Amino acid sequence: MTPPSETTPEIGARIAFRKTMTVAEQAMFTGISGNLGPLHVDAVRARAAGAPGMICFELAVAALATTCLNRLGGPQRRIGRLDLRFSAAIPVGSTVEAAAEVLRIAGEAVICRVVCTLDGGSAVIEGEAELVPLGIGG
Amino acid sequence: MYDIIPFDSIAVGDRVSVSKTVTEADGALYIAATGDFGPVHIDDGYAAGTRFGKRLAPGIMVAGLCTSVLTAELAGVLGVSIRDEFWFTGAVFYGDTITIDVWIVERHPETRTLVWEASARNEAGTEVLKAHATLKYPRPKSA
Repeated sequence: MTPPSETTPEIGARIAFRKTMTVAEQAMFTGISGNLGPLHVDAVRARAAGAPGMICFELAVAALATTCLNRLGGPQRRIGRLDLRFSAAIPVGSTVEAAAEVLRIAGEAVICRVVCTLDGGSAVIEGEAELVPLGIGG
Repeated sequence: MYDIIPFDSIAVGDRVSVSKTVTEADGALYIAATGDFGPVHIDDGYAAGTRFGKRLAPGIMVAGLCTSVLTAELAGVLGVSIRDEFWFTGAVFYGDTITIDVWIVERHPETRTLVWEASARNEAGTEVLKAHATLKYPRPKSA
């Protein structure tokens, strides 16, 4: 992984980040979000619903992509927009590769394509992100 | 969830049920937070030599699920715990899905206290924990 860019990235620049989504990610994201949705914390209910076990929090998986986005955007940009489609449930224990690629530059903003792929499998999250200047509020 | 429920709106017999899979990660976070590194929770070799055969989830963490369910789903946020009593009646192993039933057994307007009980069962239906405890409610604000 390359260090965060201090300047505007090139169109086509791409960064990927892989991680196995374990019960540890699940437990910590429960703590972060407060979400105790049965599909995410109850293996019995998840199996009854047709899943192989507990299902990853969608935003916890998408969070892997923010690592790539922040690297591409550099320290002077934050995420201003995320537009993602979650096409399939992701079982806990899955290894996911998140990737972000610069599609175009719009003034100060950087627009990226985001794809999260199951290890050896299909894309499970796809969409776009916009990285914008810091713009402190208040 | 986490509703403001006045003392007068809670009745004996009110009950809820919630299930959660207790994972290794839950235990690791609890153990890190409390510093309870008892070997039956963290040492496979030690646990293999006990009557349990493998490492146990901390029972008091499972007890915490009862009070969580109580506040989030049944009794609301106004009451505070003034006495909790737990019986650890069975082993909870990592990966077990525990179903927690919590219900109100007594209501004492003179002291503004509720007595609640809970029972936690594993997938085999074995009761692994039960609770009997008291929740105290503040006096209503005078108009």
